[in-house]
Amino acid sequence: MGDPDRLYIDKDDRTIYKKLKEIGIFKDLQDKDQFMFAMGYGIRYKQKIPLKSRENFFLVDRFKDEDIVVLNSLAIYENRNANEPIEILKDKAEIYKIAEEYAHGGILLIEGSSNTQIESFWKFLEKELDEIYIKKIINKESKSNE
Amino acid sequence: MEIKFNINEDKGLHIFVGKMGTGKSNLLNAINWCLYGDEPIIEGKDQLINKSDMSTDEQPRLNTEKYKCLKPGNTEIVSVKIYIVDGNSTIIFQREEKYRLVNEKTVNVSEDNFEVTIIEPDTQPQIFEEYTANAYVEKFVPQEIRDYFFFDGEKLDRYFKETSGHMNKHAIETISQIEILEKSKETLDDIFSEYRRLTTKNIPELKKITEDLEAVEDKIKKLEEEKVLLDSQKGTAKDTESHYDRLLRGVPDVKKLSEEQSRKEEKKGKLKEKRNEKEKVYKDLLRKYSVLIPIDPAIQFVLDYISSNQSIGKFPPTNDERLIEEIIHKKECICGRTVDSEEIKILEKLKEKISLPAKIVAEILEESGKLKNLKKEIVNFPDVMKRNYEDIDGLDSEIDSIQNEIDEIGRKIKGYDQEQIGKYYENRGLARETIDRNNNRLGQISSELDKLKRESKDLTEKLNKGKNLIEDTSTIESKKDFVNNSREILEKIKDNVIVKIKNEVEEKTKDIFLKLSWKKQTFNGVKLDDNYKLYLIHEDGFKISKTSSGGEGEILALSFVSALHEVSGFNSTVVIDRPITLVSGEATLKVAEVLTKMSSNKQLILMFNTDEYPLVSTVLDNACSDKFLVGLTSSERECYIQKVI
Repeated sequence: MGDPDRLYIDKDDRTIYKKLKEIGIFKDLQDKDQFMFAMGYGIRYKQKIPLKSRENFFLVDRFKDEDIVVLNSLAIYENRNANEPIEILKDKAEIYKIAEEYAHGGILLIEGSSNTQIESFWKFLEKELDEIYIKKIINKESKSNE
Repeated sequence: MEIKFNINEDKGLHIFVGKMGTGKSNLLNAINWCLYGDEPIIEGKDQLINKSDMSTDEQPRLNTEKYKCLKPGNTEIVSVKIYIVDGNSTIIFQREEKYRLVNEKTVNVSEDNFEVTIIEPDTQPQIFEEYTANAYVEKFVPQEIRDYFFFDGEKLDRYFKETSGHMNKHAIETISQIEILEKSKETLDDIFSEYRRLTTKNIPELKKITEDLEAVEDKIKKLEEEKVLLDSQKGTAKDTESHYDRLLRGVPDVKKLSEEQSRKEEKKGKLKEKRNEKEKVYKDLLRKYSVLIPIDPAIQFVLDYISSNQSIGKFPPTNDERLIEEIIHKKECICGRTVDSEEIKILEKLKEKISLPAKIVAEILEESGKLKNLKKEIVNFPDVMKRNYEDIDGLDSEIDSIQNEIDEIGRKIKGYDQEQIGKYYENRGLARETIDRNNNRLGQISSELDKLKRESKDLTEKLNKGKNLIEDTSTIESKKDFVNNSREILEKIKDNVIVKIKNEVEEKTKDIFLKLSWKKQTFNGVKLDDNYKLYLIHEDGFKISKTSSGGEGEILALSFVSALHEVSGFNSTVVIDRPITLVSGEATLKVAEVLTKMSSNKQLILMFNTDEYPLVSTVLDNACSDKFLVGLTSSERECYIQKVI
């Protein structure tokens, strides 16, 4: 079996993606970018949920090099307890599956957050990113420097 | 309505007090309308306020109550009568206008009639109409100088600050009554030319010179007439410019401001577009970092993983699994030598030891550069966002600031009638254009006159040199000389009369000013300069052209007015609307005292607003011979006047 040529979302998530596009959170975003955003959200809240039923979302050729790097890193990190974590790179289907499960978890969370005013959503997001940046990046780096 | 003043030899002061808008200024307008047929105080700053609920048609003189009750076909009369008692004589000036309703909106002035009645003891009243009636007005207060008798207080204060000397010059020339001298001189000029023609008509050389001289003199005369006209127009234009300056003082240039407001709105629109772009960038950045920041631990893990494998020499791999597979399969070394079975066994053992495919390792090593770039981007997150916030904040404050400017302009122009103000600016601009245009033309005329006068002088000298050619003309020559001398004398007389009157007015103004002013130590004189502009002379000898709101400007104006009245003999009543409106502080009472002093030998009618009068009531209540309250009836359509003193 060859490498997969497309990414999938849960069937039920289709309406959520559509709604988020309508209310402006996904305004002007391509399917691939919507997916990446949802995936980021899922990673942040560690929401990796298997898809109940798969539905075609976009072709893998939409990914840019940086996207591939991000997906690979995520898969390696998920496989960090294996003998050779990077072995997972041999299995493209597994790499995409991990991304799909995080995107599924993330999209459900975004739907919950988006019920507030749209501008509040951006402010909330900004605040969250600030907090994560300080807590998880700056603090971690200062610890490792110590 | 009849207003009857107490005639008191010592107390010629009559006072009207009323709220703004009750009709005090109407009294001043009524006097002007009765005597001259117009209402000069109709333009005021209150007219600049947009009264959208008012009809744009000209308001009839008919009062609102009568106007409302006017039925089609019926006629109502507006009439003003002024009774003047002069010794035993009474002069009645009367003007009336009839109004008829033509349709629901239009009121038609159907007739206008002006007459003057003279009543003298033991004789039948004499009634004069049209030209004769107007001539009586000219004898009473000439229209040309009425501004020195009936004026508003604001003008009184600013008169000498703003007005050119043109009006003063005109007033002095009017009261000098030099028209007869001018006409006589013109007649002598014609006679002189005639004699000159007669003496040279038979001598071709001289005839030609005479004709040339006459042509030059004719040009000079026309240019001088044009100069007088241009000077007069320039003076009027300067007064007009000052008038509109006064009306527009403190009033914004609404048209210009509206244009500025539109420009600012446009700029605000562009800034908002920029701001929207920046906001889009902000959202795109948030979306991007929403992926990058959560993935940071994974990126960091991979980078650490690569780094540790590199440090132990595992990366990059020294053995290529695919190459070993190929050698085993082909049984041939890369150098072309055949590989034996022992060597194959060694290669198979080596292959088992390779845990990671070289392709994957190569892939991850290739990605490490990109991972490092992503890491850099993550680290720069605060700076990138900060720059974006700063851009947005900067634009927000620019937008706020421009919005404040727009609001400020909005506040400035709110409630003003843009069209009316526009007209005022336009009129002021036209006056300025006239001044500039006339200045240019006057400059040209001046140089043309210089040239023509030189030509005239040369031709006159030539003519004098040729006198020996004239035979038996002694009689005509002597007549010609006589006429020439006479016209020169007349010119001098005319100049002397004007100078004399001007000096008299100046001297009188000074006397009156020093008598009236409470600042005798500060000012020791009054000067009416060559351009007829009036100045106060400071005790140190310098001229003061601009006065403060301390009241001295008003006193100077009143002194000049009184002087003009005394010198001219036109000693009519003076009517001043709101005389203390622009005077402040202790000067208010001083001005009131001056007005009281003035009223001892001149009848003064003064009109005050109810909020101004208490400031001077202690002085004026005792000094006045009568005081009237002016108000509006409950319907606010008619005004009433009640005598209280």
